[in-house]
Amino acid sequence: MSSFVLIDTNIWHFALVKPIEKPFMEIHDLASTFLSSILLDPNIRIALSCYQVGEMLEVLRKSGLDVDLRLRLLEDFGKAKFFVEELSLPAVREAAKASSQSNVHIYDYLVAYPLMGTVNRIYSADNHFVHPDFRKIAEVINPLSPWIITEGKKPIKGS
Amino acid sequence: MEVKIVDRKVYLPKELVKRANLPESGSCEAIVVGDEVRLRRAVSGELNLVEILKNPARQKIKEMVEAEEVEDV
Repeated sequence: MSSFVLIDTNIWHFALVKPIEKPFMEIHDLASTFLSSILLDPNIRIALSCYQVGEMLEVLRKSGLDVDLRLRLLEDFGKAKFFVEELSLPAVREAAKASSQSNVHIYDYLVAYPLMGTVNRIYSADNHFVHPDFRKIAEVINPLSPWIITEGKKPIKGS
Repeated sequence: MEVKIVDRKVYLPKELVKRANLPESGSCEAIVVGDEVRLRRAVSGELNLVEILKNPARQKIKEMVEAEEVEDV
């Protein structure tokens, strides 16, 4: 039986882009090793919302990943290892409502809410995903621990 | 959703095939879970990602942070 997992954008980002500064290289090594292990496990499939696909392509564009590599990544998302859920207006409504109550970015909800009922594990290094709104979707695990990555802030190493 | 089995052949409605992204014809993988049968496209084939991961892009952490940046709510 296959198990669907959600891998948050920050993990993809650090797996595919290596920071130049030595202290942060460890994040890349953790992310790359983790993602490789998921890709090589035939029992695990990766689920993404359509929104996340767009978000990832944009983040990787800003990080200088060659357009050809981005298109090859997009091609992979059509393969059976992946399941991409379309973004519906009801899902956006739910996301907007939850975001207004929690003050967590709607973007995080647009990554996760369309996959409610599909994924049984969420991998994220973003503290926003510790919020109960995300934990009700699935178990949340940080594979980059002790590193914590929040959008717009330098990664921090926890204890 | 109810589907018909005739002489061991299962006929899947178009809507279901489309939603599960299964091929119209050809083969797929069947997995038995308890008394349930699950169908999926076979998980195989080369991924471009495996190759891309071997040669990551390089960027300053400040620029990586900016690439992910969103305004606070």
